[in-house]
Amino acid sequence: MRQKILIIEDEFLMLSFLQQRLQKEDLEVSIASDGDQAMELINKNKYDCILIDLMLPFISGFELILHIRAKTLNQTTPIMVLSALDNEKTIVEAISIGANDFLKKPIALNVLVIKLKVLLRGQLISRTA
Amino acid sequence: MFAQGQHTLHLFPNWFNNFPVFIQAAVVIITLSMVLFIAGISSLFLNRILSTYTELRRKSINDLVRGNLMVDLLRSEHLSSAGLNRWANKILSLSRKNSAYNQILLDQIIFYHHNFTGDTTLLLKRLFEKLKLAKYIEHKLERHDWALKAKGLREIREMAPVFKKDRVKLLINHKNDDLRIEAQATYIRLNPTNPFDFFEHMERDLPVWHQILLFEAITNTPNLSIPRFSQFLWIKNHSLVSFSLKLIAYYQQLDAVLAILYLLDHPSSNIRAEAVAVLGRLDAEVAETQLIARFSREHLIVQLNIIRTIGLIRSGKQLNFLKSQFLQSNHFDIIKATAEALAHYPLFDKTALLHELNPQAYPNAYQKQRIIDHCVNVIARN
Repeated sequence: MRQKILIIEDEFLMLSFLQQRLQKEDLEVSIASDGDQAMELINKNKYDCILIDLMLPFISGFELILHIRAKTLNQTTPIMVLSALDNEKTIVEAISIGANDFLKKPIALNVLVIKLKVLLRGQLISRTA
Repeated sequence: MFAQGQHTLHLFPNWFNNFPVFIQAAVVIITLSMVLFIAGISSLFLNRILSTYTELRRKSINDLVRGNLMVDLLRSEHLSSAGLNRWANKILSLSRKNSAYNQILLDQIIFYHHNFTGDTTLLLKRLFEKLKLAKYIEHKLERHDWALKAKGLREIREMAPVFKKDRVKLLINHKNDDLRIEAQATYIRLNPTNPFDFFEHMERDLPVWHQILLFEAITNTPNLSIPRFSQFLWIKNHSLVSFSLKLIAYYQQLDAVLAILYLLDHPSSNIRAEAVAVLGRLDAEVAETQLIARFSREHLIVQLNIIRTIGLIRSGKQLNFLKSQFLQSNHFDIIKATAEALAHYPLFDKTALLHELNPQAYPNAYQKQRIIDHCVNVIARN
């Protein structure tokens, strides 16, 4: 069964590009371009990994992480933050509220793919254990 | 005159000439208004159709670039030279058909270049070169429209093609603010070995928002050769001196301390205040005595920075100075700044200070107590 991931990113070009690129890795990729849309998907579906941009319209990436970790189906799903805000404070805050990894924009695609694979492998092991 | 009137009236049918003159005039005015109204509405309508058509055309080209070319191209991260040539030729054949294609293509390349790094960037750079988009950008710099020139400069800065930097240097003192800052930032990007050589030729002020943009360009340019910014502390342009001071602090250029000490005699109190603040950020303990010696004859903004700097250096030697300023001063800003400096100062004993703060000797003792309580409160400080 293909693993499911969700990408939350407000830049349409970036979103569609990441979707197509990660589909190549044999993943089932869902997308959301704002916080509201993301919230709806998170509440309905279980994902193996969620990629979140921090600067989103309506609901910020931080609020989304807090929501995911609070009570949803995806409470234990790994979260990777993709953001151009790469200062120490942002990274610490994102990870302390529940993100598992942080990737600074501009993104190196091969780094993104390998980090994602590591997180997905962890999910697969915990699921089969 | 009569003949002329007759001649004019012949323009209209006979029945019209039988009407009184004011009715004739009204009819002419109404007809003219209607014609103008219809012409106006038609031109609006035509413009709408044209702009919708242009927008649709642009969208279709955009979709073509995004959907069929760029994404496919970027998905093939390890594209061979032959593969890249094939793609480039395909794109070139399309761009020859429509010049709008070039800008859309450039926008997309820049977007991906800005958001990705590693192999993807190298691929985009190769594609940019194959498509000779640098020439397309170069044409923008020849146009009269400053906005187009500024856009061209931003594109050059992102893609950093091989480009004659002297052409950019010509725009560094341009009268238009936006174009000027774009030119300065681009020049730094294109000239990593000697990026600040234009500082001495800058004729215009560098406002704070320009300083922020330039700072961003400096800190985001890879392999930039960073000079000793103390060499720019003597130029006449005060805004550049201020910017150089900020860069000295950012790059922690400790060897600039001596030059900054000379700046304490600068005629501008703003520059003196900034120089004092930078001494604090450089942790220049050597400057403490000089700062205290000139404290009483300084302007308020400089005095405040002297107190903050002493608080930042925290040598432990100026406790008495800070305490006396706190106790003697009646100026709220001075009291607040000294309280903040004292809160972190080595060997500072709050109880002893409060004990000294006798309400009979100091009329505003209660206010001072509250300020020092606030400053040492960990929760309030954070």
